[in-house]
Amino acid sequence: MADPMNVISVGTLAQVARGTLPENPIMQCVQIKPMASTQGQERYRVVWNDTTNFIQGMLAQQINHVAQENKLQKGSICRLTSYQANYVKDKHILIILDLDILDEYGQPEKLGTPVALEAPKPEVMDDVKPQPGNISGNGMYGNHQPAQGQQRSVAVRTNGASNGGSHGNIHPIEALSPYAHRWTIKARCTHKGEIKTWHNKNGEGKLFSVNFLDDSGEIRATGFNDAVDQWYEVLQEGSVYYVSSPCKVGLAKKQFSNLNNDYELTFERDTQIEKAEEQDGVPQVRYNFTSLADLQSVDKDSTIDCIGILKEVGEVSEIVGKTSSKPYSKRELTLVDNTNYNVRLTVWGKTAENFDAQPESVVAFKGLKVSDFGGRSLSLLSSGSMNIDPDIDEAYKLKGWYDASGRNEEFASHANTMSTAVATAGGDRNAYKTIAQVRDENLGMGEDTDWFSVKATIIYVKQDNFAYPACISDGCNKKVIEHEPGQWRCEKCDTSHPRADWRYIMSVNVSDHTGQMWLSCFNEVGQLIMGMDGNELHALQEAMEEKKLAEAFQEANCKTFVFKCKAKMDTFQDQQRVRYQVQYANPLNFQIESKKLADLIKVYSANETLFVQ
Amino acid sequence: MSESTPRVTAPYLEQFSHQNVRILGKVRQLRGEQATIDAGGNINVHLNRDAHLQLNHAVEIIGKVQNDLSVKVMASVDMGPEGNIDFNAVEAVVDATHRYHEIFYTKEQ
Repeated sequence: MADPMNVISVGTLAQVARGTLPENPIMQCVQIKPMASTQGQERYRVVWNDTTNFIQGMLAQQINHVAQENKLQKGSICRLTSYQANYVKDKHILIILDLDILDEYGQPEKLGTPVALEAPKPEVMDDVKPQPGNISGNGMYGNHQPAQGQQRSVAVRTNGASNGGSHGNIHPIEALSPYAHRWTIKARCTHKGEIKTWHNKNGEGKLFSVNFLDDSGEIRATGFNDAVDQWYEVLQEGSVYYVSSPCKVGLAKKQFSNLNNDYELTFERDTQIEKAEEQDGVPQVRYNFTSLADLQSVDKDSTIDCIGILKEVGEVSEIVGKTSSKPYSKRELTLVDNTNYNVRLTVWGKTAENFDAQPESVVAFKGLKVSDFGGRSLSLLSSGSMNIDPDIDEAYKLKGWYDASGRNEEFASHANTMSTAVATAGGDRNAYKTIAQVRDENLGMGEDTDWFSVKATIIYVKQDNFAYPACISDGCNKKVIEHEPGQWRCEKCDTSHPRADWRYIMSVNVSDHTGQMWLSCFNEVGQLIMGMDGNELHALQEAMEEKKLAEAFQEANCKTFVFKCKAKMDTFQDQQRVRYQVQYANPLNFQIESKKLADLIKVYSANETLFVQ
Repeated sequence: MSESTPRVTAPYLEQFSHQNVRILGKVRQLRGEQATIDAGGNINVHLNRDAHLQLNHAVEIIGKVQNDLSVKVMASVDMGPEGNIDFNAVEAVVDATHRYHEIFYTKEQ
């Protein structure tokens, strides 16, 4: 029988004490004892000997069987193929994840004269491991099985800056679970919610929530009642804190959180929170942007982050919640990005009221809920955040794109974005119809107004009565009467003006491959179609410039636009007719239109395959 | 009798040997009388007197497919910098052309 003294990896344990972990050391098991663990599972405590020192160890649950089947016995010589070292309660211990039992050496008596491993805590914590109680073989850690990759290099980074002190084991947030019992995280508070109170039959209480972020992930934390008093002022958004157990780690209530973590924290009375001396080493905010074009493929009610150029900012409005009867402030914004899509985004509460971002600035949003209202629209969650002109690469890219081409994609007052909104939406308001469909579906013939969009070409512009004289007072567009030559009187404003503002009310006949229809257009659209102001055109008419007038109308023919129309019934001299009014007209964005056509063609081929014999 | 010039990309060249085709591609290399354009694959083209291609521009070529699957250019149109062209749309057109070839050209069986 070979001499085990020759194979034992002498000095291994001294190395472990200094922080280096030699691979596959061979040691002797001098003691093995089962112990009941907190989870009710059997754990085996093993004492390992390398002839110079001995060390306490635990078997990971996955190799419990070697003890249960008596393969590992007192005296056995083993090669530790996978293990970790922890420093717990001033003692070094080994966690054995896998070993080979070298039966050929049998079970000799204690080899050498080992002494207890006394050594100061290693200066550099190479491995930040969970406590022994955490190694459960049933994958509670998901994809963070300690068996794979001993180093949590992530933790090393966050740890590198800290001096240890009372914060020995800095856990990565990813690793937090209900099974970790002594842990500390170093994380930035990325969001602090307002204190909310509730009253229900059980009583009343108050709570507040914060989001913590570190290199590995994010987690939400909530404090109730007393914890609010204890911690609400301490925690500041943007600062880095050490949070230590005791603190409850429970399953996350996903409906309240926008973060991607299965767990969330609940502060307890003894939870410790300290502001970190070094505020770096922890990222600021982590974004995971979805481009607006990809929004189509995101499920509704999911949470995403987005970045884009602010195209339009609406006014703040107050609405009353149906169920709660509480007033809410809201504001609608339009966001565009370089995938040529736009989207409506709603912000609420304080964010809406204090909104001061300028149009054309880059805004990044974290925690947006996707809804299918109007196709796709976004809503900023209360736990989400907004960052104007952030200092990140995507922001610069967007700014560059917008300055170069994005901005110039607008012609009329309602930019191309409206037609792209049409492209993204599947909603009723923005449905594309052919002229035949408009007739067949009797749009506008019912009680309500129907909205639709149609891509059509102008074939005729009615030349009589294409404009009316309007009051030039700001905001008043009422028809004025020329009661005296050169004096235009407005009844609403009760004033006379020396001239009138001629605004378009044109009827245009448009056509597509399925039919033709008459649409009424107002001033903005008229200008777009004619290429000139109503006043100019009227001046031509007054001046009897027949030729120029004819030319102008001729120019308008054969222009193709996407008309967003409103259809409703109108009673005119005892006759009911459907009137189609144009709200916006957008020139064609060829890229979007050709994609639409290509997709339409694809649908045909999809149908074909269904019927292939 | 009108001459049809079906729009093709590199993989289709074999099918149209000795026929006139239309290709929209990106100019990748210029070698005097010859050039290489990328249209779903690289195609060698033999230029004529009037063809003035620019590197990294998109160009539409009408030409005759040779034995060796190169194309002898008969007419060319410079479409401007390749960034301006939506090649997805081009792909879709080529796809539609061949899927519904009856509309676009007569296919000899």
